[in-house]
Amino acid sequence: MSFNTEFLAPDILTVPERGSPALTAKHSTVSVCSLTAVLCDVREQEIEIEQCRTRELSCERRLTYWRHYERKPHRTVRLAFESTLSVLELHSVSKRFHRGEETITALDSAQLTVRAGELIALLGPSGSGKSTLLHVAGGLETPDEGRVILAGEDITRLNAGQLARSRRRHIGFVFQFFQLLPALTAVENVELPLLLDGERRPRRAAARLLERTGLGGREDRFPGELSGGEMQRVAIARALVANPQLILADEPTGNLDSATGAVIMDMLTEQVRDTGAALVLATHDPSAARRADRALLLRDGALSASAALDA
Amino acid sequence: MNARTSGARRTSRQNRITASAKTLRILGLRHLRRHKLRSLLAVAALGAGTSLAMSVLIVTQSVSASMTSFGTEIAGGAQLKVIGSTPEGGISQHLLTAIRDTKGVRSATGVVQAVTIVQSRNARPAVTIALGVSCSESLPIGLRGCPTSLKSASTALPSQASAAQMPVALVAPKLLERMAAVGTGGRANGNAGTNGNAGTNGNAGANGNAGAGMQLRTDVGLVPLTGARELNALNGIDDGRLIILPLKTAQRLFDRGHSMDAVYVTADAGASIPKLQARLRSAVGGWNGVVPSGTPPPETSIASNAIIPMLLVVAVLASGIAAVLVYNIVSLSLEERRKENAILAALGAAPTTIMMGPLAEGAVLGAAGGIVGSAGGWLIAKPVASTLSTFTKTLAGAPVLIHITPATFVAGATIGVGLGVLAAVRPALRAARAGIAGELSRRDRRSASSPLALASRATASLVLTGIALTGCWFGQRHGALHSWQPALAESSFFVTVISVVIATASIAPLIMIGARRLARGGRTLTGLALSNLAREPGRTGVMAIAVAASVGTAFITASFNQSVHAGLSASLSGGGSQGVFVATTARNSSVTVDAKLPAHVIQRLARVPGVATANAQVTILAGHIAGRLVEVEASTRPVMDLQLYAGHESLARFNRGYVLVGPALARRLNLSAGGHLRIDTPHGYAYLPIQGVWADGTLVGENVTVPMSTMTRLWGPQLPAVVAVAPRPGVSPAVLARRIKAAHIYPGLQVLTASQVLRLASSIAAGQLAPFWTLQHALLLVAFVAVLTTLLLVGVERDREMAMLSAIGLSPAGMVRLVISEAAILGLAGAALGVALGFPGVIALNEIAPIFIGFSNPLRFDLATLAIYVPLAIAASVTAAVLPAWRAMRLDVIKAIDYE
Repeated sequence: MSFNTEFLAPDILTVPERGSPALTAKHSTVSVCSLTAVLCDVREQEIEIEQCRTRELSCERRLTYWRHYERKPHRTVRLAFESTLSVLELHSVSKRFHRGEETITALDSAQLTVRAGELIALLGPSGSGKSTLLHVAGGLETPDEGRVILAGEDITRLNAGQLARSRRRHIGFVFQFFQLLPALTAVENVELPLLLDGERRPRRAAARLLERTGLGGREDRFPGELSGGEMQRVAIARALVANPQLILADEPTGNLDSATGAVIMDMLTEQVRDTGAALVLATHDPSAARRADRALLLRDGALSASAALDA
Repeated sequence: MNARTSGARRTSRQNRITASAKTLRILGLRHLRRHKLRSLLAVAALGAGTSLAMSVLIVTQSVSASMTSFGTEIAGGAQLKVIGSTPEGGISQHLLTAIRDTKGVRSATGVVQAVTIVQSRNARPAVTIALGVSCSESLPIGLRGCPTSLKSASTALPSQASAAQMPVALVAPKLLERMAAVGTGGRANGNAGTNGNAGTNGNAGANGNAGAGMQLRTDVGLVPLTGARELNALNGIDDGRLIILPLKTAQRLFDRGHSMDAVYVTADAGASIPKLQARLRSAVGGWNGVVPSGTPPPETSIASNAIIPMLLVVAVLASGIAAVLVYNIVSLSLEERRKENAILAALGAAPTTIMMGPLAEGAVLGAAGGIVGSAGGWLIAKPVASTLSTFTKTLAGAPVLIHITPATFVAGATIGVGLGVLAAVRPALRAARAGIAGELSRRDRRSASSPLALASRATASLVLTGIALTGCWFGQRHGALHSWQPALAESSFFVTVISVVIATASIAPLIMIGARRLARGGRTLTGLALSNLAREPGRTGVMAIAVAASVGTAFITASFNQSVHAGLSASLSGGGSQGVFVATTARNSSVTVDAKLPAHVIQRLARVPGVATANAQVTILAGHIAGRLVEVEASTRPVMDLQLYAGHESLARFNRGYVLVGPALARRLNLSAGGHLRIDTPHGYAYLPIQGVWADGTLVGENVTVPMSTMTRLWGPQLPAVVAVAPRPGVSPAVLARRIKAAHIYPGLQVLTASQVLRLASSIAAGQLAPFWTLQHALLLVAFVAVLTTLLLVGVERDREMAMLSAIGLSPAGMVRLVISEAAILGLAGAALGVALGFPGVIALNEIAPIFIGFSNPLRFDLATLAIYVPLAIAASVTAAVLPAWRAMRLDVIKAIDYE
């Protein structure tokens, strides 16, 4: 990956103003050293300029900073980056399942690049491999072949612990069946990713997101006390709370009536656009797909461009 | 900058810890609150399991505390105690002088501490301590000064007084009440017990006839206590089981000559106790012991050494079963939460975070179960302590009282946490490794173990059982004289138990699979029940283990009891022992109370018509260290009637002064024929030439049989505890017993035929097996809890499936029948496996028993017991299914089907 260090200094100052997505550096320490010309402490979307250190620092010093900030994940250290940088890359990814003597090819040499801020719709019939693609992209499933690059890092080489950390820092999931934990209240479900990442007091951020998704005043309800639409709002808030670069949404309206589904889609796309994250949306719903920047069709594990958006 | 960085790191770490704690709280512990029933069941299972382990702990703790308290009460203000080379009369006057002459000793008081029996017409005989003290020194028992009555008695009573003469004794009012002597004496007309003087200044009350109607068993016969005086202060010592006599009186009554049993030493003010202890050790020699004054008498260890190891076996088994139950419950709990864990993983929870949930849950459940188990342990410990108490009272005069402290509950909670966490480790690891995507898409449902895998496991565990049984046999072979043999035998026994448990877990589902195939086309509900049991081999296995354990334990315990009975019967009928046994008390067959038979009794016995021979059997204890006492045995007509493990079977050689040692003593001291046994005697160490090692299990094999001449030479003339009288030809033991009784040779003489001794010995042996029966009863409860919890939890998981069955037409009554059928089939299979796999258990226990109890017994299988316990176990299983069945009947079908 090429990196124009000359470009960095002005760009980083514009991050908060234009809401440009920022990439949490997850490179090896070597690449951090070589790439990190400017390190800034971004807190609550505001860059503390005085904390910025420029490349006059030695490589060793930069590494010291990096390690320090690595241990403070919520005062996230970010790198400014070229706006064309990809968030997710799938290189010739294949995945097969065995059921008895039958082998099912869910993904067949899939190639995909998702850029920051991009909204992609994945279309395809049931069993075409949409969910598998999302699972592989999110590190929930290991591909049989190929590489998955998430935020510049090949996640197929990570162990379970590293994968978990990668997921909680880079990805937000939204599922068809909401997948909320029934023992936790709405706000507890939302704050969970932050808690898992070591955030001590995540309640405020979680409550604010719930407020933004229209669930103010319902924070302490358990999932069983919420409607389907409300549960999906909680799930979206949970996906966004850790400020990920990539949202993977698997049929987020599949379990909702069309009116509620439309509201949920509006909210999801709006929230995703606000945060500047990329969204990969698996859906059967053409109207949902029309909101996407690109639509891709999966059939028998093979990925191709779809004409759905033009229809 | 560095300070800032390290501060920031510290804050970051604190943040992480706080966040992790919160995550654990909301993920792990909230489940417990939300699933109260499941949590309660888990606590019940853990409580049932840990209660057995806790009972052992409580019993051990109670023995230690009771004996220490007893020792401290007797010791009063003394700091050190010198114990002689034998607990009875091991301190000579010469030794006492040496102690008094030691630098730093302010006073040294020699005492006789006899254990005997007090009896009256109105009450059952009671074991009591007769403490002989001299008023020439300060009293050891904490009384302020010597009671005036005892002072006068010490000088007034001639040491050669006859048995009929009343010793001046001080007795505790509590003892008088216990013996129901009030009213027969003069207590009612005196104020001794209430005037307070006795308790404060050490003087006895005015009542000088408190013990009227009471008699004391002694070595010179039954001695009336008519002149006894009450002393309130004695109530606080050994719960009033104490009679104080002048030293010389005690020495005469209990055949001590001029010797004493112990010397209580008070140090000079400011003297260093450890230094004084070292000086005393040097002064008295290594064959005498110098210990802190509160140290319990070493004889008390005999009782605990005989029973505690067996209890430990029981506790380990019970804890294992508890761990299996908790494992089952945690596994089921996690099965229910597989999807939740997958969601957590998808959100970025690290595998360790996912593991921490069940581990924390296991720990909390374990802590609660451990506390419940402590309370249960207390209930179980009561009968066990009562059994032990009968031994300790006879051996040292002190009962075992249940002793529970807050630390007991802390220990219970700790054991529970250990078990809970241990049981949760595997399910937690499985949870951490589960396929996330598969769980989220419901693709990765658990596949049952294949019949082939189950059969392989069953075969492997049965082969292992065979190997372990061979290990048990090797472990006890030839008396287990090698130091490695007990370890091999014990570990093989545990392997046998574990492999049998694993075999049960594998065979039970195989039975279900086989039965399901056979039942095809049969009744639908039975088939469905069998299918349910067959497709969940893990759960079926756990429930089968619980049922099988209760049946198996009953079978093993009853069979072992029968083996012991057969062994005792064989030993009493063989080796010329057929005849009549004469003693002062029914229990006087071994080391026992200070009420032995004087020499003239033996002479008079020999003159009873029909008596062929009278064989006096003498026993003493040698040594001063608890757990290392050696029983020394001698008889006037020695016979070589036991199996010889090593050495020469020559009576002539024995009579020349060689000795035969028991297997445990030989093992502990690495003794062999041709070597020498070093033993403590009042005159120093004696070195006895060893003729051989034989199967004498007395004192769990810690014994030596010596010629009577050796006994007399080393320990002086000893009175026999028992005389075995052989009848002349044509005279039956029963007739001979009647003749001896009619001869009125000695007051209170006990005359028992071999069959009566067998009954008595069997009842004592059965008493020692009480912990096993307690375990068995507890295991029945555990089986009940296991089946109940498993069926309930399975029911929770099968809600959707049951709802589907209901939707397609299964009636509520049908649902009840289905659940009850499962429990009944399982109870039947578990009981059958308990019987089948109980056989290796019986064999293994019988093989290793000589190491625990000293004696080897013939193998017996008590099949009659099964007629009671098999139906009982099945009934427990079926009863446990009632609640799950009721729950299934009340299932909300729509809700169960609809929920996703």
